[in-house]
Amino acid sequence: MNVFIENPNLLIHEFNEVVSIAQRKTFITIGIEIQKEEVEILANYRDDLKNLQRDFVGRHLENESNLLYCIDSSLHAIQLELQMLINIKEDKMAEAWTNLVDAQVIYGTVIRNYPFEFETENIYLEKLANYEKLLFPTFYFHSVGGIIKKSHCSICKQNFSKCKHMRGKLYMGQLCCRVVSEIELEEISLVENPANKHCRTLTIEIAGEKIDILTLRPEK
Amino acid sequence: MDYRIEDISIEDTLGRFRLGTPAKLAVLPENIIEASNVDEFIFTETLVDLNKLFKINEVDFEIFGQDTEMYRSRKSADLYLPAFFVSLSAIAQNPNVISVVLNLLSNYIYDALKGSIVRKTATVEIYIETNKNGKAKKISYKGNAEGIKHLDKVIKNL
Repeated sequence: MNVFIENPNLLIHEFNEVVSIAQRKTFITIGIEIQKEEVEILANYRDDLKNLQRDFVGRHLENESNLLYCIDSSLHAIQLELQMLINIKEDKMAEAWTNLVDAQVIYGTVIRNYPFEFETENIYLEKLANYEKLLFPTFYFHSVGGIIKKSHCSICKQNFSKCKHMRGKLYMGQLCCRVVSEIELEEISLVENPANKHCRTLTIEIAGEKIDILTLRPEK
Repeated sequence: MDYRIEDISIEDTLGRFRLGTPAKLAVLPENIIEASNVDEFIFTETLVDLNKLFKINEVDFEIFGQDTEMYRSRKSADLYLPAFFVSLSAIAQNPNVISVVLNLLSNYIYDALKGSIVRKTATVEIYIETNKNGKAKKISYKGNAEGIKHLDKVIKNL
């Protein structure tokens, strides 16, 4: 991958090829063993990207490091999409939901940070949103609200209100997050449109029996 | 774009804290009505982001009372922005202050809501001092990044 340090455009070209191959396997009809193999291929390729990113960071190449975050995260989203399909086939529905939400969140960070204009940015997001509608039942989410009393920056570890880093932006290939370390809980609500889709309703109670909302099987 | 305009009294809203009317663009706590003193002020968590954004863009503003560093977080997908107060003296110092703020807010909303298919909205309140007799208009806006820019015309017609 050393050649990419000299010419990052080659990296984009290779990325497009890797995506094209992987996306051909993101259909429910594709053999599970082929999808598992593709997950491995993507994981290995992403390991190589991480090594390349360390090189970029070592050379203080911020734009290239940020581009690499976007490339790696896009592939991570596809890897999670494939894993979701595998988990559905293996009857692991809760894990499949987790994969889908992670893919949506990770790809969202790519769209917010990709350094170039790209017309197809929402097409993949729409695909992920359609999985949600077609493959999973409609359910409610939990939403937590409160007073943040202490938080720090994931980049510089300083008080988040004092540092200069912007939440959701990339700095040398790292996503800036606000790490909340103290919060006074004010409310927990049931909502249809949450900030965090991991906070979902897990079970419903029917005739005194707890039922898994994804499978309708009694909770074990 | 969905907005509502109300008449308010600055004395009733801000005067009871005996801090004077802010001379420049100011951010108000979201519990300005309920708080009994400045130590109880709670700000919307997006204030932290906007504080940084305004500094980067060299927009001078103050935090009404003090930044208590207590920020309300709502884990809804919608975006809640802090309330802004624009005094007559802030407009006199910079006649473009409202346009500048609305543009920055529009960019912030656009960036924050990007990357999601679910339709999300932003909520913001802007108080505009309209005369020296302590009268102000409160504009409550709910909508997207593009719509907030149109508030400029609405405010000019107040």
